[in-house]
Amino acid sequence: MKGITLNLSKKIILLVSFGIIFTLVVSYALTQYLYENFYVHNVEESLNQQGKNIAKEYKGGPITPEFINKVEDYDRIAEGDIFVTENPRELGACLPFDVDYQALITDEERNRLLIGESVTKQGYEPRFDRQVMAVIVPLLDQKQLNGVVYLYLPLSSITEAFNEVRYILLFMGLLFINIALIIGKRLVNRITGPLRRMEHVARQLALGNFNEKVEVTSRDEIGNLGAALNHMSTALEEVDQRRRDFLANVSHDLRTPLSYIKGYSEAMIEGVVTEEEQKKKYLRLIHREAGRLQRLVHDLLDLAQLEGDSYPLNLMPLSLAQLIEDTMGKYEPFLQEKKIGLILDLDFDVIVFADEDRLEQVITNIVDNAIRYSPENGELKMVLTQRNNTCTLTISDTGEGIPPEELQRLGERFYRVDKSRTRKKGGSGLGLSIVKQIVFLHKGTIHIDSVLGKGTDVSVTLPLYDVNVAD
Amino acid sequence: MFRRRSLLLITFIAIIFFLSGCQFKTFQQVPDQDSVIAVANVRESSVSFINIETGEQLAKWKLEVSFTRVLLMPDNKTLMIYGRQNPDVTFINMSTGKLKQWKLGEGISNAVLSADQKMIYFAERNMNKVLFYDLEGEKKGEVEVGESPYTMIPTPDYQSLIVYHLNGASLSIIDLKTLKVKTTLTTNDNPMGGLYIAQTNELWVGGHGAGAEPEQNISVFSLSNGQKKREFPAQVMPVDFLTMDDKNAFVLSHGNNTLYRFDIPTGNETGRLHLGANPLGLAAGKKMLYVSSYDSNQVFEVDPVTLKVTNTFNVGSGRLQIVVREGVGT
Ligand SMILES: Nc1ncnc2c1ncn2[C@@H]1O[C@H](COP(=O)(O)OP(=O)(O)OP(=O)(O)O)[C@@H](O)[C@H]1O
Ligand SMILES: [Mg+2]
Repeated sequence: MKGITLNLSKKIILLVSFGIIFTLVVSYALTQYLYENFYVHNVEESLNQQGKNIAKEYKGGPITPEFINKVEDYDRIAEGDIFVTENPRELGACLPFDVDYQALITDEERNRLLIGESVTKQGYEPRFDRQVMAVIVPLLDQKQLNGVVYLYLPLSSITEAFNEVRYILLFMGLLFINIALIIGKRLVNRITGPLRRMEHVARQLALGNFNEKVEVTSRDEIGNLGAALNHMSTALEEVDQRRRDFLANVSHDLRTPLSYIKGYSEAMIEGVVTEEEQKKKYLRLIHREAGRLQRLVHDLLDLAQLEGDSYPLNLMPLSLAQLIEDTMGKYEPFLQEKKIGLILDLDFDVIVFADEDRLEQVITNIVDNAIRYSPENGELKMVLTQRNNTCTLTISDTGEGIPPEELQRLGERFYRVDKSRTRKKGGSGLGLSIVKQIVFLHKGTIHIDSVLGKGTDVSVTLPLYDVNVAD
Repeated sequence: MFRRRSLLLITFIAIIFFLSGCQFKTFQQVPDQDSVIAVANVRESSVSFINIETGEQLAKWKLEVSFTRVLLMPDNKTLMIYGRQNPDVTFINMSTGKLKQWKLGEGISNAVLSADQKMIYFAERNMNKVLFYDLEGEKKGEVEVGESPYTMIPTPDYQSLIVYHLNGASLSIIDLKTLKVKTTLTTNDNPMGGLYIAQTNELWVGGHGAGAEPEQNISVFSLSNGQKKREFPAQVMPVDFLTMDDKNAFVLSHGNNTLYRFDIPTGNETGRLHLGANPLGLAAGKKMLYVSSYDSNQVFEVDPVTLKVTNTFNVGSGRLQIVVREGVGT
């Protein structure tokens, strides 16, 4: 196995060649068989028939000269050689005595002739010194073997008849092999060509080159494989793009607060600021930026954990309405500051099976957004309903809204509608990603509806706590 | 457990018995008082005994080995059975069915008794020799002769043994005193069968013929001068000769299935009979002649006077030879 490694095309060519050779050998054997069975059999049969016809003329008693003459006449027109012998020596009468004479027939043949059977043989006959096909028909008078009719045909004349066919067969066979090989090679190239192309593309993909694509020419398995490879290439390209974006985002979001911190602290170390009031302001700025960094790192960590395979959720049955009320209590000052009115319409029967802290994080993130992206004097409305086995929490604001074409991409990490990263409305774009992930972990769904300039509805649907299942 | 062991023992004994059975085999007996013909059925390796009077088959010996010929011993009871491919010469006593064997080696194609019935002459074809044995199985000598010795005719004066060379065209005359070949005569090809006529010191020689030419004649040689005197027709292939008296000679020509009767002094044909299919064996009883037909599996009883078939027996396959044993009762 170690020595030879054949590529696919060679294997297929080999297989095809084997197949062709096998077919040829079989068909040759078959023609030989047919030749044996039909042609030779036919000759044998005709010799036999002639012999029987002649033997019918024999009416018993000694063989007469007239009978011999008749056979000689017949011999002149017949296909093979025919003769009659009445010579007891030729008929093997002396065989029991072991006399040194090669009779025309053997003891065994004589025995068959004696019971009236005719003998057919094929092979070398020393009497004629060549290969013959011979039929011996007995001329019996009761138990006496008075003579035999011996009919024979040199085998060469039989094989000659077949030789012509053999040459045609050979020529056809060679032609067939050639044609089959050419066609086979084409076929193999058609199969392996795309495969080689795919191999090339896959190698390019490994090198990070996503521009090379497989040309899909057929709708068969290989075509499908090519299409799948192309699809994979596109997907990989996207992933790669997102990875780059992510890195750019992270580094950007890290760099900005860092440069603030560095700048202000430098100013203070070099003693540029002397006033106590000014120093305090700088320190506050440094503190704010450090907090921003802390939040960013915290969010990233959270997200990485949530996206991991087995994030441990601390699940328990809990009243969602209660959780919302408790959480919103903490928002009182902010709402008042922004003069935003809060309307709660909560169904207190709703029990979900969830991780309390995580669910609070969901509410916080959504409410954060609603407050952050709303002008003053807005309104925040939270409705909790249940239907069938699910409950839905809809959080509506009267804020700036989101353009419809952006809705699709909300929830991607670092994705923000306002790409210019002004510090005023400065989120990092991770909030909704975290929400999405948590909701997903709770087997729920999230849906965002928004009208630009009017406001945004964020609906989170979660499965209700099912007592039967939980127990 | 015990029963199984005893079963095993019985089987074992049975096997031993079966194996050794060949050694102690005895053959069906043929009563001494019956006159029988013993027919050698060489194709099926058996000897059949047929009661001449009743035509009934008295016994059939099935032999394990192949053989071609048989010879009735002087005791009129023992049949010697032998063949070219068989290294043993087998003697079976007809009245006891017991068997004994001599080891002579392969190649024994023919055997005859000496004129005084005290010796057996064996024609040995592989070494081209004639072997001399007494009736006890002791070898008394051997003589080298020409190719394929077959027909052997001892002269009634105990002086000579005439030996034909079947696959040649000659015969040797052995001097029985010196055990040396004293004369060699040229004959027709493939000589077989013949008669020594003591009155005229003549030898009639039959045969198969040369090559594809079947023998048509009987050649007559004068043993006084070794010259061929004449020949007379006996178509086709006369190979079996017999006399019952000084007057008539019977000759069987197997080529055209004919039994001839010749007048001995003149060599004139006095009668003929067509019978059988490739008849190869001729033997005489006290009154009747017997002819075996190789291809048709028959034995014919022929009246030597009328030359008519008086009886036909059917048994065995491929009868090459017959011998007649006259019973003590008749
Ligand atoms: N209620 C809303 N009204 C208008 N725009 C919104 C609203 N909620 C989200 N957005 C838009 O979607 C973007 C992504 O929100 P997300 O909460 O994921 O990030 P962020 O708020 O910018 O930052 P973070 O929440 O991580 O501090 C926001 O930048 C904002 O443009
Ligand atoms: Mg946010």
